[in-house]
Amino acid sequence: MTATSPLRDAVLAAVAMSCQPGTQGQVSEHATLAGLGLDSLDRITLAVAVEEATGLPVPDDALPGLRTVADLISCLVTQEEGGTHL
Amino acid sequence: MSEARDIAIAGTGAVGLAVAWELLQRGVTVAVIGPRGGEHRGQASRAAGAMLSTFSEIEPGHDPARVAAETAERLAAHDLYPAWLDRLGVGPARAGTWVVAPGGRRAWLAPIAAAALAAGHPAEFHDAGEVPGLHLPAESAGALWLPTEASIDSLALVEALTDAIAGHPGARWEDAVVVAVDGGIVTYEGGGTITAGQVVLAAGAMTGSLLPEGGRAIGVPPILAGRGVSLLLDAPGVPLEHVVRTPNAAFACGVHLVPRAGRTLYLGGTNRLTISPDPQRRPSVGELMALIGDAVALLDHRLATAEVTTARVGLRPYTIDHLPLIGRTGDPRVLLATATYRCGVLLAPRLAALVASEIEAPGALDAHPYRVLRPVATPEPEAVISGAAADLIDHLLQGDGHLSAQARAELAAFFPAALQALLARPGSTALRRLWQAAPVPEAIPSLLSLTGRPGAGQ
Amino acid sequence: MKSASISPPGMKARVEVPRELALGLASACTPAMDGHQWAGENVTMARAVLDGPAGWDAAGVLASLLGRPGVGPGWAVLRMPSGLDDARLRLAGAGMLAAIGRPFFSINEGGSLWIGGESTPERDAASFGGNGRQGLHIDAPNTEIVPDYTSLLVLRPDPAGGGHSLVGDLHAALAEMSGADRGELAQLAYFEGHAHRLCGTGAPRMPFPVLDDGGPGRPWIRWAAKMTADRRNHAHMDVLHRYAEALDAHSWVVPLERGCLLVLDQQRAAHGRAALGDQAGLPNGTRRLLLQAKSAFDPAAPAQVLASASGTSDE
Repeated sequence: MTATSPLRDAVLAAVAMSCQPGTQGQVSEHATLAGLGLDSLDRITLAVAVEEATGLPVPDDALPGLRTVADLISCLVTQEEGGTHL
Repeated sequence: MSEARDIAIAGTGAVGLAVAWELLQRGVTVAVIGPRGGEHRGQASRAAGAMLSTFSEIEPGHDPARVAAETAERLAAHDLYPAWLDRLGVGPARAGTWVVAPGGRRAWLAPIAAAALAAGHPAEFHDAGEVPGLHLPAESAGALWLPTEASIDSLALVEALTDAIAGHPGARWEDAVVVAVDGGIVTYEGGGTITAGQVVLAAGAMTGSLLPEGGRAIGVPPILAGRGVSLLLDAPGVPLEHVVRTPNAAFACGVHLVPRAGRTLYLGGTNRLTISPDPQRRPSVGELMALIGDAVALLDHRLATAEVTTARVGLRPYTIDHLPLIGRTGDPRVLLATATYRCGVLLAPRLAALVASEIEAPGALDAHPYRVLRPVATPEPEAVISGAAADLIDHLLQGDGHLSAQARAELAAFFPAALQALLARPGSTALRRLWQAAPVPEAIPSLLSLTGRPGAGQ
Repeated sequence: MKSASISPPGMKARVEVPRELALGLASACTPAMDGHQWAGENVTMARAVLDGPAGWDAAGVLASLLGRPGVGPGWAVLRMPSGLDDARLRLAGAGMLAAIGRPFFSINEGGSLWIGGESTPERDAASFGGNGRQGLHIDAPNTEIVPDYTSLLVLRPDPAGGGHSLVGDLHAALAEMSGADRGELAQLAYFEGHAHRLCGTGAPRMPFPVLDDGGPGRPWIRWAAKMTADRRNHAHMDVLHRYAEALDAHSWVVPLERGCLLVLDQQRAAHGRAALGDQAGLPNGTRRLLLQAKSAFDPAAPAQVLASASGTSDE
């Protein structure tokens, strides 16, 4: 269950957009959201940016459980493969 | 093991345990599901003072109908409390609270005093220097002494309730975290389930996360979480006998000190809205800075030398209309006892009696202001922001700043219009998402903060 | 047959409609109309289907909840069995309405009994979930003959989780009003909307009294929350606001799923709607879809026969 390259790229770009300019260079799949300086409010802008970039929902209750960028990607991969809830 | 029990209670904070114990007293068998020992991270009850605030929670600017409803329930709780503590074998609550007004804010004391006097309770105005054991800063604007307003050690309370229930033959305790409630079935960590005729869900800020679709299909309104950080201090230099607190006022944190056994002081007072509560998250440096900064600046500079023994986080559950959720949902098998915001410990015996009455006579709470199925209107942003504008300015000025009356009036008109326009802008998706999740005054500081973030206002 | 004592709403106000009854109604009846009324032969067929053990049980429960005279809550949620398509739900719903009266439409939308459709999308991005709330009201309070019963059939709840129905107890609210306020509400002085081109309701009646004690039986309370925003009522705003608050204190959210039919005796219960959830991104065909139909009191309807036989005593 690996992420498609377009999905991965879209997520990385969205994460970079939500970071302060100085931290953007540190964005990678293994980076932790906290390490990138993203607090709980930033996670809202991140969720919105990811939703707009990928078309997949990132619900509020998923946000606290995301530790790394990779966690965010796998949360979306599950949905991309048809496991959407609602 | 699956001995049948009449009622299952999901959640082991003050309210859930109070409900369980009340039902046991009435001869009902119960299954309690929730952690018994352990850290209980994020649980409001154990992070609480607790102040039994019958009157001192009242804020200037609260809608009078809300104040009347809440005061009536708090008074009812207040009257039940001594006998309740006595039956539990917990010592009496410590009576007497000082409410201290920060500089320039003496007017905040007025609605509290008025409510106390109207209810036949004493309330005396004093100078700041008259608060025993405390060296208030010189600019403090006065102090209100409420002799009948009490406090209790909330940790001792929940432990006494735990012992009373665990030792009762009518109770079964499943020591596990609840992960889901669906109809009469409670699922806990590890995959086990308990089924009962009815479930009382008393899981505070996590309540929505346990129900299918957040409880919407059974009429449960959204429950927000106000994150509070508290400290236990060893402070021999600040010998307090009674609670000392500042009033709440929209965004003011209402910092408070509650004396505990020995020379221990409980210090509490932050309240930060979170729309996706994470009970595992420990106190942040920023939260501790805010708490300690307020305590030292508004209460007593000598606190700076106190030793910190424990830090806790509590998630205070509340609804958009700021009233609790008590009684049956759209599914008659599921009842709620939660959303008590800052008053769960005080209201516990009262809510337990109300829930028990609903179980015994379904429909008993159908006209109660705290009923779960009451219509909770989503307020218009304009109304909320206009109402909070004056408080927002106070909050930003931190009490010692000064604005001319004209500047203040202009800002008070400007803020609502600006925030309204910002929310309407197409690129403000993140702001709108926050507002939709939490259309309450408590969201406004977060809206301000979010506006400046990268990606928020494209 | 016992009539219910004052039932707490909700607990006993849910009625499961047995599968064989619903399917029987759906196969025996058609959508045919006589003008604004469901065709006479449909009413006859529906009542014939209801004339059996399952139907007697259902009629009995409806009698206690909705029958007149009666002291029940005046509203009920009828839950149709799962798996019925929209067409069968309409027919089964109409059949159950025939148990309490004669189904009809008051607004002509293409001649069908069930009116309404999908909620229209919010075009204004600045609607933060606050729009779409419909205050508590009865339908057509401003007509000579207020429809006796109204009903809402849920084909699709709001996928965004909002739009719950609200129900209010009109007489419990009235009981909280002072004598002076009741006197003021009884004045022939109130206005609401316009009542053109309604069917089955007699002529428009404006002004009208909110508290209308003119007829036999329980008084009517001709109420709509919108009246507090109508300038024609300016001389009576205070009492209208007091009544609105009293009604709010006696109102509840009623969550409904697909296949639920909320039926209200307009003499006893007002209805409304909570705001819809975030409608952004919801395409046509996925949004909330509710239909509405009325039913006129008919003493020969099976539930009314039972209600009058048992009288008004409390149990």
